[in-house]
Amino acid sequence: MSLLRFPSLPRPRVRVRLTRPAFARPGFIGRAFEHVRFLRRGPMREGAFRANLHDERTASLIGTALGIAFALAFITGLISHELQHPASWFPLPTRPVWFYRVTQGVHVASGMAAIPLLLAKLWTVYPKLFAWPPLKSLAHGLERLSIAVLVAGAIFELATGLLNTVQWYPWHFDFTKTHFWVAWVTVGALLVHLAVKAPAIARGWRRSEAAVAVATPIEENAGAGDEGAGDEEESAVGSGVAASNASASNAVSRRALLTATGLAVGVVTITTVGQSVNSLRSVDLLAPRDPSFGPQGIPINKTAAEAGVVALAFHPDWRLGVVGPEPYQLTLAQLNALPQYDAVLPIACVEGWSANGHWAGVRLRDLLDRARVPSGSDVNIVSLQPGGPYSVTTMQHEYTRDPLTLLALRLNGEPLSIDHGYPARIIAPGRPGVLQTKWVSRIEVI
Amino acid sequence: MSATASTDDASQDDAAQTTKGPRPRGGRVALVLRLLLGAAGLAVLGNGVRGLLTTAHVAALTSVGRWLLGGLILHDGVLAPVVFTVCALAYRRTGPRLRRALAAILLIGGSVVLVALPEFLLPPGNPNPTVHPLNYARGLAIVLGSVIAAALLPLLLSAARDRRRARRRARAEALEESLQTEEASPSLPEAGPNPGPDA
Repeated sequence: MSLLRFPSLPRPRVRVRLTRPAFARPGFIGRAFEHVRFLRRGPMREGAFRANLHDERTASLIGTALGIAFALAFITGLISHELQHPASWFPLPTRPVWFYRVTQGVHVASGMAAIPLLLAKLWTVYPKLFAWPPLKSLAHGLERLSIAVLVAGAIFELATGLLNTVQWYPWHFDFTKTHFWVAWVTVGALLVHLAVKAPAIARGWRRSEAAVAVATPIEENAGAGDEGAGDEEESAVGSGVAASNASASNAVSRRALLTATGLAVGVVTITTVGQSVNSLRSVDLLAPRDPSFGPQGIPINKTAAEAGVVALAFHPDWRLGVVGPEPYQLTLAQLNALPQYDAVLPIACVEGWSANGHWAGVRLRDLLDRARVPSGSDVNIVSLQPGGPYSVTTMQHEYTRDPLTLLALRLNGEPLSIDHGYPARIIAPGRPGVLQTKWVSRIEVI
Repeated sequence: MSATASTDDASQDDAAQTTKGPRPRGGRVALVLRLLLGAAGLAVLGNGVRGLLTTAHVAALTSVGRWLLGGLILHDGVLAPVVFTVCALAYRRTGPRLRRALAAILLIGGSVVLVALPEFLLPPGNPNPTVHPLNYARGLAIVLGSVIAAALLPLLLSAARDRRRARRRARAEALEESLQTEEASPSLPEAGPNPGPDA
């Protein structure tokens, strides 16, 4: 239209306007912030942060370690979820018997290790929170939003996970489900972040110290700056490049920061991992559990009093019921008279601790055979517990038919203590502790 | 999706304009991979949001939101400003070696304190005695003490060594000086007209 009406206008400029309206061109939003420069105060003013170590290379190196920790936690978390809510396609592993002990130990340990990594990573990129202009484009805004989701999710996962290890739930949501779904949100935001930052991460890996010192400033200035709006803007992170020159002489060097981060991971790991790696028990100074502290030398997750089963468990009328094609009931004395088997199996809890126990009792498959339960069928294990999510658990046929799966009557040479599930409990190889049902009263074929 | 897509568009445009395609194929493959990664990320994120919305009810979701935002605000609004302020204050009063040691103490000690914090804030009354069985004050004191000692001991040792060296050097210099004067004094009568003090 305007071309028709004003044919004398300089052509190129008009054509640009026709193809892309001003507000859609990159840099428009950023330029708009030029009008409100007076807002650029406090942490947003230029040079507010001493520009040391807030650079691309530091961020991508610590970020890589953090990414590995999160990947480990996510994968082992998915495994734990699958073991507790198995999809039909998921192969349930019964060997090695310490399978869950390792995956869940890694889950909790990687979460613990992620705490110093997240602190260091957030410290490195913190000046970016105050980058000017706060918003350059729609894409920039969405990217910042995805980072807010990522940081919020990461802190949420580590905080709730840590509190769960001490069985403290100061909130109004279901821990297991929320921790699971927020993990998806966090990992999704992490993948988006990786996609956006891939070139910066690659540059961070490639660059040696010397190259960083002479190289161009990082993407904020190099990439988005060429539209003009951000040319003279030097973000605090960008100027970190210049500072790495000075770092050798004056400020803390990158090597020192990375070493300290690595040491922090090491110290946190070594003082807590003893709760699952029992050989490191002597340096288990800060873990929520001591794997040898508990009745019969093994910790528990719920006492009999908490579960409200003490009277029922000690009741002389207690019987084990097996419900199948040929149902029957057995007293404790009759169970003790059946062929007994030993198994050394770990009890490994979702909260990360684990300990080996010497269990003895009746093989579950013998009990099921006696009721003529077909070998391919799953069973429900019913506890004396009057309620709660684990009062009835499902055991898949992979476990019911395993020769190591016991209805245990003894632990470490003594009859089960009440807190370990007297008179009888389930112990199966490679399963989460919450599914090793205590105070069993009935076994039902599904 | 749009976040990654438009950023990529922009960078692609830039590359095309400025470099005239020295890396056309590699750049394109990388771009496709990044788009796929971004799309996968959005799918995973969407699955998480769907899961949250379908499994939790409204009261629970408010609590989830409060904890999500609370963590973000607690870090960005409280923890980080405190750390940056402390660092800025310490920067003016320390030399490079002490600064490095203090930074290490802050990062390692701070992480340990955060990890152990629930043990100290945990409300009492868990009927399960096997949770929280250790003496955590003792454990934290041991760990923090070791970290501080390990970070500061080399500094103290080298400071002591420097001081000793400086003292030795001063003593040596003093000795040398006195020797020189002793040597100088007998030679003086030969060299100059000045007689020695004893002469």
